[in-house]
Amino acid sequence: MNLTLILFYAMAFITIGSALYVAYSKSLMRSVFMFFITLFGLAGLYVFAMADFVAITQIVIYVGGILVLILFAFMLSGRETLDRLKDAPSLSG
Amino acid sequence: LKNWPSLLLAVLFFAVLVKVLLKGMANGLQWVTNAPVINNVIMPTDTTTGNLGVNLMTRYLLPFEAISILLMMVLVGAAHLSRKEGMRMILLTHFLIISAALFCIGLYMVISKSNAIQVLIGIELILNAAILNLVAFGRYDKLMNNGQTFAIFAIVLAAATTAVALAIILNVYRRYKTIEPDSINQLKD
Repeated sequence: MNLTLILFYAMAFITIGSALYVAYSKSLMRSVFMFFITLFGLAGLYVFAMADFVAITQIVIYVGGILVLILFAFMLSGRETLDRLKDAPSLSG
Repeated sequence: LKNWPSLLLAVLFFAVLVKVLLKGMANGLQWVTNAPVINNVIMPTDTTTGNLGVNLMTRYLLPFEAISILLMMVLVGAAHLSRKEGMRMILLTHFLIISAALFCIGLYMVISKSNAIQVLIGIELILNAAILNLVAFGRYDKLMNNGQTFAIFAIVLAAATTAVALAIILNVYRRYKTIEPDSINQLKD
């Protein structure tokens, strides 16, 4: 068993596992933070596909830009967003 | 003559060896002088092959077997090492399977989640699956690098999309006090 293959499969497992948790989790906060791990695992997979620049770009733009943006909006929108996930009442309509 | 130091060293060492050999007088060693007396010298009429075969199979059997096993191990190890060198590339199918799994997870999130931000994360997953596909195929295009270039374009486009989508979500939340996509239906009537 090659070390590269072991690392590749570990990366793939981390990526898909954390993505499954992102989809499974009821809490938006945990979902966002597991998406963090998914993005890092994807950056590792890009390295295995011989695309190191794309991996760095992924970390810089996705993790540094998009995810922080999502967290920012999510934090700014207050607690009700979290609570609305649990009971999910439809106010209008 | 560029490498004269090594040539000088070799010549000097040869001189030292010749000196030592001449001093040592190999012809005068006792077992060498004894051998013709007890008929232990190889003659031109002897069959050396048979003698070697008998010797290898009787007296030196254990070293012979040990060295053959060593040779076999070294050959198998060398074949293994060179095979690994060729297997270094991870198959394209693995990347595609991972990408397909990510796409399906994102699709599930987009369809089933009742929170706009989680739907947005699902869209991001789908985009990432597409980027992984681009990058994985881009490995087989070294000259043009199309895959990686378009992956970078896709990442930047995803950033722009997310910024606009988050702004829309925040505005919707401010107006409707909810970010559930199903309950925002004022545009309908």
